[in-house]
Amino acid sequence: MIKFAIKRILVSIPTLLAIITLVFFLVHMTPGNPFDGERALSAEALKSLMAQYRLDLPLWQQYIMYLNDLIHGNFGISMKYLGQSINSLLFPDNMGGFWVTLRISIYTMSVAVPIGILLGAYAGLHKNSWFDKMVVSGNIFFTAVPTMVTGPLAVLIFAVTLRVFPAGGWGDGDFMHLFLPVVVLILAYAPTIAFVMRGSIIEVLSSNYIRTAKAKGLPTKTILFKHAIKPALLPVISLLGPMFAGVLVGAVVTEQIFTLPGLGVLTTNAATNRDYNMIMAITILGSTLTIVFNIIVDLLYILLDPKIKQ
Amino acid sequence: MKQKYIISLLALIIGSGILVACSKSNHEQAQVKPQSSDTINVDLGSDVPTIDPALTQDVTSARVIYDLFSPLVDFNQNNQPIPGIAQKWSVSKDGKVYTFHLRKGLKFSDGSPITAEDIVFTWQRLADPKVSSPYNILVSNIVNGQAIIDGKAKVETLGVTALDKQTIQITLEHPDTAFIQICTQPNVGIVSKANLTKFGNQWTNPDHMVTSGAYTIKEWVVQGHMLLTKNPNYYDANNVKIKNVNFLPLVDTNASLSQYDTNGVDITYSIPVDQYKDIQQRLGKQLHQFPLEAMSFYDFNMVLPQYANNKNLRQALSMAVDREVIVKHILGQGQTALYSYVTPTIEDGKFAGLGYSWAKLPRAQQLAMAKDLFAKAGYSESHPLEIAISYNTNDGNKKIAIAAMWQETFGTQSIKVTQSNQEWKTFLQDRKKADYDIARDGWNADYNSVNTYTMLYYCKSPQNNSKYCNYEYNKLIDKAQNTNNPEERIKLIRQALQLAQDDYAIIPLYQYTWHRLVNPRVKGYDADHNYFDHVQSKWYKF
Repeated sequence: MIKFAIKRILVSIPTLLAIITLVFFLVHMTPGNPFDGERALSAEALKSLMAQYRLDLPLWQQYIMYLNDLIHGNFGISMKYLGQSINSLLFPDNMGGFWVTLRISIYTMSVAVPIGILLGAYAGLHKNSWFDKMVVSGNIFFTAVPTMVTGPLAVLIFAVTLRVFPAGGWGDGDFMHLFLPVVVLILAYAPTIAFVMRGSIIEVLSSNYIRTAKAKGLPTKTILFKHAIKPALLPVISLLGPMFAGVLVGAVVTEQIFTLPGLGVLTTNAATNRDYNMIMAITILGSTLTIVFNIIVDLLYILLDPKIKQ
Repeated sequence: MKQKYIISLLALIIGSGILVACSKSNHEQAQVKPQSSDTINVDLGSDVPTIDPALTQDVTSARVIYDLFSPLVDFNQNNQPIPGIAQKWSVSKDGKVYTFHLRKGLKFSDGSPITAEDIVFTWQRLADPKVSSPYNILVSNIVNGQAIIDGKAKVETLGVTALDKQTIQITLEHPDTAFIQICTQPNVGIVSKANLTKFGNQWTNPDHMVTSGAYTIKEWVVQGHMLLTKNPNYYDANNVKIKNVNFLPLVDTNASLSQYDTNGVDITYSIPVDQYKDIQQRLGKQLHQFPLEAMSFYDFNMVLPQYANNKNLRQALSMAVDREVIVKHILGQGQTALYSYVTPTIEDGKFAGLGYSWAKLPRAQQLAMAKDLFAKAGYSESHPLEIAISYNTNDGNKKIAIAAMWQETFGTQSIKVTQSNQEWKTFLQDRKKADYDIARDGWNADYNSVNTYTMLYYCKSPQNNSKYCNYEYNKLIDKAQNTNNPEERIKLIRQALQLAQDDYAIIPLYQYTWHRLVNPRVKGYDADHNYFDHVQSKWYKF
């Protein structure tokens, strides 16, 4: 297994390098300059800025220097927040940037995953019951009604009308400020988990070896917990890797609605402002997270499914 | 049995999930924040890109910098200059030499003295090409200013000198009646030479920053909040009433409104315009409306011969736009239609009444004239005009309306309009390169001087997006700049503007209006008459 893990990590390095290269050239090819604004810069001032950010060099040279910085763990200087390093913007000493998003994602997933699995499992075991129908329609409902709708609705009901929670902001990351955004995210992710779990349980229960177990007269509890749960979890686990990475870099809308100082807002700002270094850093962070979670998922797979080990 | 088991497990997990979420928090029943009596929450509308005075070019940064850095000359709520770091000043007879006398005992927030040397350093820094200030134009009229900006002279040669520890002298190339206004700009907020030298480009870090203004920075979570606290060493600290200012960057106006409704924000930046009528009804006097010293217009690309060589066409297109319909029915939030190349409010109305004479004619007559000009321009059903409007995504319905107005006036067979929607930076780049037919444009005046508008039409000015060039206009503006006689200056500039206006290089549309919600507990802030929206937190009281 360790051998497998090392192999996967080694394979991911060229993948990451390919992503970095592609994004680097794409970003620099996009029309528009980070320093274009309503007020035009004087020629000398622009020249000096371009030199400060090495944008006056040929692209290949910029690329090599960028890789060199990256090896030293340096993401460069932001072009929107002039003079501030990307490292300090993404990973600030105080709360903000990645830390905000990480905290929200952990809270979201630590509630959404168990709830999703349990609801799905229960619905799958009682296929076609009223509970099952509720889970299925709940999934359809929350897939059709995105956070763009549930977010403002939650603000309207719980903040503006009932005044139970603040309408937005980070506070000091306290419970009251995080409750609504986390609930909105749970509503977005838990139904999908439940739906996959439900389908998987139904499939496993109708498989031959479960029928054999039943025929042997094993008690339902044993069948369920010893033979059915483990294989039924496999599709859910493969879903969770990209999902967690997705929450980490993709809670853009939720962050905007609840005005949280996380990665989401940094991402949209970076793109609209052509903050090359920030776009690169966020892409690298996102890809690394996706790769890491996929490796973790693969390892879990091995633990749960001995077939894959071979 | 099985059901019970699963349900109790479910309850256990939900419960523990909530406990996990709670465990890291200090959750006294926070609920809706009670309003703090020593902190005011102000929405900035977007995040602050920089708090370095020399580097700022946007209104958000400027708003914060007014609180952090005092310039030589302060300003009041009517945008009139008043003594600041300089207690008094005098101007030489030829209008070129300004002498400023500093207050006694001035201190930065760390207690170190503010000296004449810091002031010279602040101005030199703005000119220095290595600093790359987007607003170095402010020093271009100071002796050697332009040469320094162009990298042809040393920074030390700038015409800003310390005569002694208390006196600063600034020498201009040409007399400029607006120069005192320039001295109030955020870009010349006084910075500490010692502090900048010590920390280099890390000086804006809240842990290092030393300020000269009414407030000093305590915390800055990028995209989160910026907390300012009163600077006890500020020269007018006794009159600064509110201890802390908490700035929030609420980009989404709906989020801002929700925060306002729940006391999370005392002053919004703007409002969701689609809810204008509802807010007006619901919040009444808490909603403030003021004309902004800014204009919206469309540029003709004067590099293209089909526009440059056809004044009849430009005039016809300009006349066919029904500005009254745009401001009353399409926008409908109190904007005023514009028929001139500057707003009627600039310099307290000295340039009002310029406008097109045809604007006073009945609409039917205007349209008849427009049709006539269009035909004279050589376009008809057999030879239709093909034209593209370039705009950026935020432009709303305006361009649709303008296209419809043209087609209604000249006939759909005679004019074919395409609309090209571009993302902001791409749009800016194309407009700068004159890669468009007709492009959306807008301009916010920086200070109360017509100069901030006249450069929009000045040949070779980087702000001249239509690339319009009439040397007669340049000559008149240059002449106005060199005269020391205020009446003569106004006369010359009016003449120049009339000339440019009759050349129809742009289509002026309207003067902007701004809306803001102010909680009734905030006193001392006049949100109805500040045309430039230059605001300082030291005016607020509870």
